[in-house]
Amino acid sequence: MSERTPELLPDIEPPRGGFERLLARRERRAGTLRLADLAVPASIIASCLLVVWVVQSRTPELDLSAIDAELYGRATAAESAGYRVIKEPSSRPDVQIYTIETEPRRD
Amino acid sequence: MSTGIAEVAWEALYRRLERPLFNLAYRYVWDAAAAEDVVHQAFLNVWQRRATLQSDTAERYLWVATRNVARKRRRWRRLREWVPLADDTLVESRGADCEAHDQQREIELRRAIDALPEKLRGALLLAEYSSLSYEAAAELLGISAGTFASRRHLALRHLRERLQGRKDEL
Repeated sequence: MSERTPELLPDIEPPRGGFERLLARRERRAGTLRLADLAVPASIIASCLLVVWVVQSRTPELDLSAIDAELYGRATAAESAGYRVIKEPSSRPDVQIYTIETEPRRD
Repeated sequence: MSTGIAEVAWEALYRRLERPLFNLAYRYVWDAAAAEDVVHQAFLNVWQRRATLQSDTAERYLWVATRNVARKRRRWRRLREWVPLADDTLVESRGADCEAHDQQREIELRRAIDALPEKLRGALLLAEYSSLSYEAAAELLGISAGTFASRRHLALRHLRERLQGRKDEL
């Protein structure tokens, strides 16, 4: 490619041990659950609310990338459509609950 | 030509592309851990498709996948920042790897890159970090090489003007 512009975009060193973490993640993924296997998505979609759960370290073998993909897809779609998103209180630090209102924002 | 990517080739790809892909992802998510996660997801996607991908196409796939995942993360991050969560944005953006950089400069640079339209940002970051030819990078974006070069040039001009403007204000 062409000449670089390090004065504008300096090269950043990635965290050390990345490949080892990638291998560990690949191993975990080999026997993981996927979001579709959880009973969450269908059950949380109510007529007036769409609730998105962010599960962090709730299940060690859980494939978080699957959660991410689902979550990002929903959140992005909701955002694009102009829905308001509210972070709900959660008693568990490892579970966050977001409510996406089905009425588009009016502001 | 044999089809499929062996483990050795997969690791070699990671060793060679980890740094440039990380730098691309970092300019979307502005967090070292998140950028690594983006790169890992792209490599896991390649691993899942190793039976059908070929080594010569895997690299292009990795650039596309990294950019796509990073863009999704970026959109989600913007949504999170819009939701009244704790303001951890700037804290997270300063990983240990960035300590050598001036904090204020990084914030200004981040604002300048964030302010770029995605068309310009994508061309700029691919030009900056990938070792692909203009033609190959342009093909990834579905544009001509001339358009790619023009977008990169425009992005650099915007960045320089914005950063210079901020400097003049101070």
